Amino acid sequence: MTERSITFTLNGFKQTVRVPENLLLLDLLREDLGLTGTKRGCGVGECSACTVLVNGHPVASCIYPAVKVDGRTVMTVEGLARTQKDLHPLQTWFLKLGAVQCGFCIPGILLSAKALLDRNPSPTAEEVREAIAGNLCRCAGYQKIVEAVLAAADELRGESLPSRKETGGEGALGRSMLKLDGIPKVMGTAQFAADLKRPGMLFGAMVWSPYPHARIIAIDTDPALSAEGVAAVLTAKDIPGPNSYGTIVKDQSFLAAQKVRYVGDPVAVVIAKEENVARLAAEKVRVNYEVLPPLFDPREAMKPEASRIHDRGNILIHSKIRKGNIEEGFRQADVIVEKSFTTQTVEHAYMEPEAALAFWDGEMLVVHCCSQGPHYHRQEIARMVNLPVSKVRVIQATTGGGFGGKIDLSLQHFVALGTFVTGKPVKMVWTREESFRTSTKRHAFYLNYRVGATRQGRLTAAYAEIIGNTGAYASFGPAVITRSATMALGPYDCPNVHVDAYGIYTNTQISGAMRGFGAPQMSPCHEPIVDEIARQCGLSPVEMRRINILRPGSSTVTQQILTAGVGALETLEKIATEMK
Amino acid sequence: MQWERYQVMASIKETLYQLEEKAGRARVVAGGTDLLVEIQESVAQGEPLTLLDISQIEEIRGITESKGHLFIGAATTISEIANSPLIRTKARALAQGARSLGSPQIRNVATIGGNVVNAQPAADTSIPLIALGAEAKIVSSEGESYVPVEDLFRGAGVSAIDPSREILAQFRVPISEAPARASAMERLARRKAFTLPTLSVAVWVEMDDEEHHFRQVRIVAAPVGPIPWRAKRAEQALKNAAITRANVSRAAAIAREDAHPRESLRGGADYRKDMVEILTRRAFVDGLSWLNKELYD
Repeated sequence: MTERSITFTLNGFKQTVRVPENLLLLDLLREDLGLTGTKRGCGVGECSACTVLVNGHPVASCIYPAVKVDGRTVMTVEGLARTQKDLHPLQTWFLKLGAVQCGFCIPGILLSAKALLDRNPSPTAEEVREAIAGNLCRCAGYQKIVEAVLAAADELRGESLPSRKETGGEGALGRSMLKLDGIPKVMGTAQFAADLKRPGMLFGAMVWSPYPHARIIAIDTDPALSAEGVAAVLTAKDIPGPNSYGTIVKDQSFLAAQKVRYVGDPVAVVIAKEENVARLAAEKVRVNYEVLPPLFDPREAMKPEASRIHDRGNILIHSKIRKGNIEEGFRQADVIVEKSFTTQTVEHAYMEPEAALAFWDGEMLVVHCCSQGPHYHRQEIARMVNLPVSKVRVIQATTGGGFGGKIDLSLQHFVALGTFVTGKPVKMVWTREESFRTSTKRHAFYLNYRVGATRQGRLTAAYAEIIGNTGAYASFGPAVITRSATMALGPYDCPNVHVDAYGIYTNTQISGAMRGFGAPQMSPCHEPIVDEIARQCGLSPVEMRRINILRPGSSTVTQQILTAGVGALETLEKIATEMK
Repeated sequence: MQWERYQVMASIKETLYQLEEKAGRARVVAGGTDLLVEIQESVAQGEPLTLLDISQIEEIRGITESKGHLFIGAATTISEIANSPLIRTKARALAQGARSLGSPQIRNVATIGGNVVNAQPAADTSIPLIALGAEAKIVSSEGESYVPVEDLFRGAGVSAIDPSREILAQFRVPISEAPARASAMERLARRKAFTLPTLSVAVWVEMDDEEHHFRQVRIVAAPVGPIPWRAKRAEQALKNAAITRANVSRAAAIAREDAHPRESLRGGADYRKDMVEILTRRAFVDGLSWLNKELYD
């Protein structure tokens, strides 16, 4: 690769560095200069987590060649403040007003805001929104960010801030607290897993199944192993412990040995001295597959004659709810509404793609990783490498969003196995595409409802069939599906209920935990049905809900008698007042 | 795949020399916001590629007005176009299109030349440039020529300009105070910012001296096909027609009738077809309001 010497001003200091002409600015900053405050969220200029200022203008450094900054000035988040004592007003207001959550998007947003305030010291809220329109955030919500930018603008103009003072209270109660790890997050010093390094560290890259359903005939690792710089190619044969895992049902292989069940099923891990060497070598692993017919639609896969994705069949779970007498309930009904619905697969799209680093600390196998479940990860890793749990430490690195998608194992166990086999520290960072392709999703549902009520609007019977696509493996499927069944009627009281909820294996991405955990799919179903019954009974939507909403003394679909703490009616009344 | 060399060029002359010397193994890049992603994602293993970055060549940057034309350097960034008072007043549809392209981060780097050469059918600056009747100055070692922007599209993502041989250097947009002219662009998308359009329509109108009749108009809609699409029959219907609501509505309906958009993730074919009519009408109303001209009933 042709190299060139470039000179530029970085955060106020002149730098001269030699760079390959294909190096991107983000990699120059993160890898060569160690400024890891600038984040890689997508690598294609779509999320702007990598925003830096070049000559004062925000640019996406992940698609900006490093050689282009020759003779220019660059500012990264590390340039906003040298120490905790001299935080920029943007940083302090982001902290004070709770604009920082996971922190992964924050360095980029701070710089977009900085560029705005430099050219426009008194922006309107709309101008702030325009300035940060390129910066995606998934957790804190943009409103607090906009408020923080406006507050910082006020302070920079030397205006008093009476309306934005911290809310006070006695002692700790009722008082806004600064986020515990907020300061490193606004300074860009928080250590996400991709920011970690160890001397002598190797890198891992995955070999995935390109087929949704296939039998593995043979795996030839030799062409990859013989590539320069490759330390190991790990397959199922290298796993010392049992090759199965799963939080509820252990139906998933750490590395596929016999069968692959979705596009992205892990087959092998290549460990090499550099990331691109590992990635190129991964393309050289030859896997001989016997392609099997795939099943994508859970309604097809649940038929008895469907081919089997797992030996025990395609029905992961059938969750039943039976309350009262459904036939009797429909006999009492004057109005019956039937509706069918579908809901879609949803990706969590946390800003931080998966990353992990493993190493030996004496005889302790240590894994730093993004995680929502370090204890669960520890158990599975110990099982995989056949070590006592006490010899495995999983440390949650600063985690850039999860929303349920980082509860399952993603790559933690692969770096652990890499270190276990090679003895060296092993790091792996996934691309956005790899993250999308392999992470769990929200279950997509097919739903059929039949609900009856008296002419006065009192619900008498509710029947629901819920068919959830749980994908190739169980993950949290059984719990999500059961939760959906219990939430089938939302906050409404009905004496006679019959729910059949199915979690069905298909050859698609794994569905797992996601915010709401099976409940969000239900509300777009029961609410329009309640509205339709109200119409047919000549009731207002509010009155219809007032009649049927759960209150203390009500029996839920699972026949729990509610006692205290039932806020549904109060919520309804508040909404009704607001709507007037 | 990766590029082997990346050279930030200082002049057109030097760039042409390099292109000729590399004979097909070098290609021009400007902001690179599309191209660099495409190259990295492509699996094609060809000969080592040299990229010649023309985005810092002063002679093809900036916006000037002279002799009834706006001259826009091809390496002018989208942000500069969106914020230019000259463009905002004299080529308004172009400012409207530029403002909605990508994100601020992309607009600060992407160039108007790159947006056109990338040849996406609904590119936010191509659509208004065609409506405005802009021409592109193309230079190569054989010389230079002006080509209507409209003629630069060969297919989705396929430009008539060969980036291994030619450089799109400048745009020339005809402008005039009299007869009165106006332009406007309407863009429909799922979100207000940072998203590709479901449908865009740009219109340009020239009124007669009394300002009661259209002299001529141009209507460009996209994505309606693999290349930007002109509603020629609708344009014809407004030639020398009175500036009335009925005439504009009739033309918009003709545009709808002639448009055959396809189904994609961003919108259904029927929906897009309906939107051709609505956005065309809105663009006329918006464009004429700029001239303080309301549509008569």
